[in-house]
Amino acid sequence: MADQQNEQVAGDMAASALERIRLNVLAFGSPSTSRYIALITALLCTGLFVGDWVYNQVLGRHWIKVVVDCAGQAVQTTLHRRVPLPPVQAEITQQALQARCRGAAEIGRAIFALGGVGVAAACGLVIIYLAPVLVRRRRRLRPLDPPLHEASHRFGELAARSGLRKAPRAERGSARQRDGFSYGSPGRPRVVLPPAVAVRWRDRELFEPLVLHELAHVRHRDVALAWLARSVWYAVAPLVAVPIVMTLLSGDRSILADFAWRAALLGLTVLLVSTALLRSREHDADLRASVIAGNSDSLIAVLQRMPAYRPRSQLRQLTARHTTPNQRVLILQNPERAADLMFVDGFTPAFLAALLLPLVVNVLVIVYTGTGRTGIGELAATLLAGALLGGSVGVGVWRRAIVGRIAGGSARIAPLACGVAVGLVLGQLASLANTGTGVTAGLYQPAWLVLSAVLGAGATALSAGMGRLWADSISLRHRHSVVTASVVVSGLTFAAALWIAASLQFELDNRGVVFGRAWLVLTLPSASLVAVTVALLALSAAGALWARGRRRTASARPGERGSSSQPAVSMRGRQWVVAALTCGIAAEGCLVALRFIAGPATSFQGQAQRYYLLIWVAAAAGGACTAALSLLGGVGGTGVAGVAAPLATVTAVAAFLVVNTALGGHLSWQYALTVAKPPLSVGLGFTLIGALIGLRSSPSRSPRQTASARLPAPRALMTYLVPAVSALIISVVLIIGRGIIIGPGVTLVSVNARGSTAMTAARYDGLHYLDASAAAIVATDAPARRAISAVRDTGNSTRAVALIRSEVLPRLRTVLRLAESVRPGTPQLIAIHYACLSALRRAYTGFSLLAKGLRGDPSAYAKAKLTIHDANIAWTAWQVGLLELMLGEGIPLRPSAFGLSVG
Amino acid sequence: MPLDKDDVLLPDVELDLVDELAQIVLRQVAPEELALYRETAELYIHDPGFMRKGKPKEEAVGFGLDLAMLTPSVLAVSLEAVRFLATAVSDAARDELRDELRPVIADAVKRLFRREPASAGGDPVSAPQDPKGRAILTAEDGREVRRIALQRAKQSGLDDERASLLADALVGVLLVNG
Repeated sequence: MADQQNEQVAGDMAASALERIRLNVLAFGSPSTSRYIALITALLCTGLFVGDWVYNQVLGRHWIKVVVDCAGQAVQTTLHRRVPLPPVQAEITQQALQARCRGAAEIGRAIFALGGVGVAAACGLVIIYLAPVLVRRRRRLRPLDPPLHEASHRFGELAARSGLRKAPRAERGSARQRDGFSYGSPGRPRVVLPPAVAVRWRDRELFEPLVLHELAHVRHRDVALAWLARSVWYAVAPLVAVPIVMTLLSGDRSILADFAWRAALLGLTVLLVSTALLRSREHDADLRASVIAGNSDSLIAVLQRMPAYRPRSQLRQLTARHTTPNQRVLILQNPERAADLMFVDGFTPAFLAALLLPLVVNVLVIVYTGTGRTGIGELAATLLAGALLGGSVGVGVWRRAIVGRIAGGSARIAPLACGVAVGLVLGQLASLANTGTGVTAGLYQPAWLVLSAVLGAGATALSAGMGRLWADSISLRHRHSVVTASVVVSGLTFAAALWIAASLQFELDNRGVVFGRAWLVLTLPSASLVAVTVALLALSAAGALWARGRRRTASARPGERGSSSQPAVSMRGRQWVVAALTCGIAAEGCLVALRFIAGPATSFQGQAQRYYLLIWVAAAAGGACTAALSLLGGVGGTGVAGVAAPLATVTAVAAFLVVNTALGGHLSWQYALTVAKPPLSVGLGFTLIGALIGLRSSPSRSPRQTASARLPAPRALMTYLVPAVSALIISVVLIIGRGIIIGPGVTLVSVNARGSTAMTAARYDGLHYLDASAAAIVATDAPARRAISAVRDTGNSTRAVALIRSEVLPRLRTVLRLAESVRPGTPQLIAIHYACLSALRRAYTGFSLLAKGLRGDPSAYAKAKLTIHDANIAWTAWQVGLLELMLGEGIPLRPSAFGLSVG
Repeated sequence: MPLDKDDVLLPDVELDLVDELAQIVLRQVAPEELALYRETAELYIHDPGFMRKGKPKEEAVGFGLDLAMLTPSVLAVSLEAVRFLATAVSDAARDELRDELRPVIADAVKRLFRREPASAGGDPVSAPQDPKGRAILTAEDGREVRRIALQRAKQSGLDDERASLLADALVGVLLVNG
């Protein structure tokens, strides 16, 4: 592979000089800064593990004692209640009591863990301020005093040209020094010139390129970042060695091997990542130096005078701090190549993020254990990891898209996405948080790691698509806003992908497929992170499309010289809207076909399955739309899917509401929102998967041709066909496989199962309520519903009043009596059933008022409308409760939703 | 260090001659390095092999350059040249007592240094004569000096081109017959 690269380098350099657009790649930020931050953060988070380990050694016995005592106290407290709690609630109460009891001990554990971070950070700071002193003494550095004061003066002039507010101090070494370098504590950088260069300050062809290069490092804060990373590693390495040494000295070596390989891998990672980042920053420094100088000729001349390129071994290539002179010249001659993204550019930040994520989750969960809000910890950790990925991968793909837009051509995103996927998996495998747990990557079934890989790669594709979309639309005068947008949008996308992957992995791994399915449709929709991400992606894509329509000419863009940039081929407004609508309608069409073929659901379980099938199909419509747009428009199409996919889902939901209302169902804004929210959230997962299609785009180095104003006929046809076919296929698959994918209709246990040792009383009560009580209420309510429909259909108030009095009210009274006769066995069921009673009572009151209102009482009429509206809401709440009962097979999955408090 | 009977020059004298010759050569090839000559020369005297020790350090946040001062190479070459010249001069007085002749030999070597560039078309400085009147720096000597200088320059780490330039410069500052 190295040989192929070398050939390519040589070939490119020998290519005839074509007029090129000189590009200021640096105008748009550098993703390597975030990679540095990721490296430093990952190293600091290693301190979490060490701190926790120290706690276990020092106070581990005390912690165990506390846990045991608290468990005992919780059991005693629960058993000695005057009114015993049902088993399920008792379990929940005990857990809450235990958590509160050992909260103080957990806080102590968290303090130790955070203390490890603090020690690492403090030591790192000491080193970063001490190191320059040692460097200066060991290498006998001295300022550019006479007879080199003129060199110092010249250095100052160049520093002023470099845009530095404060010129760094110029120094030189002894004759032993042959290269220039920069060092120093934060805010006090120094540039050291080799004496052979310092004495040749009159030689502009030598002195200026080297000095400008070093000043570029200072301007980019490379000194601070590089030395900070090095200092933190010097601080962390001894900390990491402490558990190894202590374990060797102690008798318990059970975790030694497991920890040692992870620590060794961490060290290797630090080495490789550090050198890779240094190489990347060298190119940036070269480009900045050429920008300051006004041209790259002098710098290229110096590079070409350097020792001829000698083939490097693979190991040497990985550990070198500079690329070869040939490669540097290539970048200077083709600045757009500096924005190219390889496998390692995705692997590195993903690996680091996955390394630190479990460590951060562990400590934050510990912190929040006492409050019972451990979800905040998971959310915070994924936001941190997402920000690191957004700042590195996200900024990288956005930059590449903008560079491609200006200089022409595009690069493949697939290697980058693969790097992210592999990095997430390997990082999770190697994380110190999983030391000694006995499981691989924190999972009993490591195969679920594929979720991280798929969603991570999908997030990369989606970020790249969004970058491509904005590259078509933005003016680079607002580049700081663009950088911020790239970090926020990409960061949230990655955070949402990581959160979905981690949470779903947990559910599938610990509780099985049934709970995994339930989590997707019940818990995921309530996650704010996912909802915000979906909304932000839609707004971002819509904003970019709108801005594209108002885009000014390319002369407003900085960094463009020479000929104007080529307009990009991108998705037109009509295309993506058509694709989205087609997908949504096709999806709902399949559901209508199911209803037509299989008939309406007769049992409550069948209705529940249909409802969840709607969620899946509507969500999948978004995924199908994403896949279709990615297929048709490449990476750009993937970006448009940010708004098209939710539109497809909303279309499917809207079509369902139309059909449902036409068939006599109730329609309200509340109901519409309730129905729309779950598929929109679940749809993000499908969108991430569908985005993978966009990775197949082929790269090109040549400027793209201008898009024709009219699409050729076959392509126009494809715009309709591909989305429709995609949505049809996936909908049919879901419908046919609904028993496996969504879940079978619950096979309820008959009443004869009472007393079975396999069935707890609470679960039996729940199933009995579903099978008998709820079914009876629904069956008795049906005639009342038909009577209500007849009242709505009649256009005559007198007739309506008569129907209300003769049909509606008596039937509602019957249902209400039946409902009031039901005696639920658990507080959860009582709460669920209360919603039913509330609905029926309000309905009865509402229709009574309606009858009065239709006879000429406006206030009664108004009150009736409100009351009937409240009745419908309560009825919907009851339905939701029944669904949760069904999914939990007798135990509602979310008891907290019914206002149950613990303790 | 006890004086070896094969040492033509006393160490201090040799050092002075090397110092003088190196500065003359440096004035030709890299006059800008004269500003740091004294410091570099002291480092070289303290550790003559410092330029060859270890691989060049690849600096973090550096440029990637590997540009050494020419002064150490000039010193190394000058040392070899002075020793050769001293030997060449002393060969003419092989039968005499060397201890008595050492200062004379040093003086004769010094007179071989061309302190001013030869003027074009002017009279070349005549080759100095040994005490018995024989020419002691012939063209062949000049070639030998160049060969030694080239070899030493390469050993000090210079590439072929720079080593050749240095060797030529060295010969250029010597008074060679022909």
